[in-house]
Amino acid sequence: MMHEKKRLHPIAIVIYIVKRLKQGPFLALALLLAIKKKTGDPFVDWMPLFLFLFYAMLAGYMSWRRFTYRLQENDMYIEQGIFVKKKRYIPFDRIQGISHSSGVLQRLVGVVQVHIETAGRQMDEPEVILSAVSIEEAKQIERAVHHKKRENIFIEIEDKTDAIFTLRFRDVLFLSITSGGAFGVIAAIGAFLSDFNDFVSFERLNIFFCADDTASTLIFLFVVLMIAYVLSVIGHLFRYMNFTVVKQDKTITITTGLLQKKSISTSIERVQAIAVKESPIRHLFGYVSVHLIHAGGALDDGRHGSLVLFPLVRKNEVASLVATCFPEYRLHDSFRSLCTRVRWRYMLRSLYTVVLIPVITIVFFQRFETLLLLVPAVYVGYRSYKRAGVTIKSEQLALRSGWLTIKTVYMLKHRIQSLTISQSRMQQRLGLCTVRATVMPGIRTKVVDVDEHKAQAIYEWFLGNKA
Amino acid sequence: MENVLSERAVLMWRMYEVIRLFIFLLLYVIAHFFVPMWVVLGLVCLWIADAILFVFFVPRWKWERWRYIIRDREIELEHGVWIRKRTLIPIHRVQHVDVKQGPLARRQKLASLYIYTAATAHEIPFLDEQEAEKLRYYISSLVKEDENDA
Repeated sequence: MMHEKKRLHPIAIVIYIVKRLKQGPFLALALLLAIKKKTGDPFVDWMPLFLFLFYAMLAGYMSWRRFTYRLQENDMYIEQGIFVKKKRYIPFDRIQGISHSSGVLQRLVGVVQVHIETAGRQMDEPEVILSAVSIEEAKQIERAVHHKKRENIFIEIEDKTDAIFTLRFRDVLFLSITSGGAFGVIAAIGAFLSDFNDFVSFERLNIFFCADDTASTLIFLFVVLMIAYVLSVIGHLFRYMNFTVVKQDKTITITTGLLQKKSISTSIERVQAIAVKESPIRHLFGYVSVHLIHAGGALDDGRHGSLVLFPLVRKNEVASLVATCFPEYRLHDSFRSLCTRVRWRYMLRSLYTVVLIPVITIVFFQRFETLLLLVPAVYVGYRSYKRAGVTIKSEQLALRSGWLTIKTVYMLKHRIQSLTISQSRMQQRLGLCTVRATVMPGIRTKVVDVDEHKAQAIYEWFLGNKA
Repeated sequence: MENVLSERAVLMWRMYEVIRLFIFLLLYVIAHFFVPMWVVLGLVCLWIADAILFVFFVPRWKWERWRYIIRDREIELEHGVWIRKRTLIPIHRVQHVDVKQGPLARRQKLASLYIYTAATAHEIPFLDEQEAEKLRYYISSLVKEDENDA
């Protein structure tokens, strides 16, 4: 029956233990080091580690043992906590979304992890995670929730009937190779290495390379960067393999992942805006990515409130693809650029962002080559001026801006929570404004240096607001 | 109706600035043990300029620039000394309205009004206590009316 108390699948014990181990290695290491210095006895030395392992196992078992959930008429009841028992009722109509994923451990025994998202984001944890439940059970929970919400959609886990969008293998490959994430990893590794340099001098590393000058360190750096890049590419490959978007009635379901299979479903009503991003490299090949800005937690473990709908799509196909999912949005490319008097402001602003690099290299290393960096900076500034713009089409406001990556956000009037127009002293003199629109907490979109009259027109468009 | 803040808001801002300047002074006193003389002189000049500008002029300007207009369908806020900001909040987007009062404001019988939407929070600072309370009622009645219409 529906009303019995249930436990998770016992594999959850292992999952909890792994989770605990991931949280606590530093603690265990610190303990280990602290004691190791004092005694020579191997048993005492390894004691903390064993204690920690034992604790993790016990805690993992206890958390499983104390975690129970029960589906009721109108809500879900969850009890958890090892020492302090936490009881939680989640009314079905408060549930914002359900998604499931399955990691390696879950797949081993054929269960899924269910995320349940609730609306009360400010009050307590936004989501409940059932780490391991059987697929039938997951479906039953989903059915119970949707039935109560009178949506009556059953989202089948392995259903590819009417896929709107799928990524082919070469698309995934291209996506991975051009991923901005790769550069992110490179930057992170670079930062780490600069610290690393202080601890371990590169002379010692030369043992591995049998060379003794800057060339070897450069090679070393290059190798590390390449490894980071390849790792990032592989990560992206795994993440976006089998990427499928399915639309059923008013629900959009996105399935992705090779090892860690993920399925995310969201209702169309919860989508607040649509963003189209053009990163420089992909733009060169005529590709863009489409993101949904939606209410509810961070379903996609990316940024909060943003969800990838189409990770890679040809620019000329975007409008028709989005129209099949969201008929009320009209994506277009008819942006008039801003007035010419702001061109210099955009180029200068772009200069400010990079000018620190040449200044530092000139002052500290007397290297003037980095001055060349200013040329592309000016160009990027000019490009971002050229691409920025604001357009109103009946009930839809579109803001486009960005420095390297150009982002266009399409918002419907009744989704905009508030609109702000601001003017600095300089902008007042030049008759310019900055336009900001907010559809989601934390996600603000703005366009700098819009003509005053145009900004006023947007303000008045929003003023005539109707429910 | 177009409205301005309470005149005592200027006093409040001045008080906050004086507190800030006092803390800065303490920090400067601590710093003067560690830095050369010319830096100390610079800091003193900076502090005096800071005091004159932010205690005497800026609060007044701030007050002069603050406007709020509450209409049937939207709330309009206008403020900012250096950067002028105009914000538009549709009434039907308002989720709840709060009145908050700090210890200093309570003595002056002032209160700040906070307007929350699903995505943003907006503050109308230092209104007269009664005025803030009145506005809170007024806005929530507008919201209710709007809900009934819809």
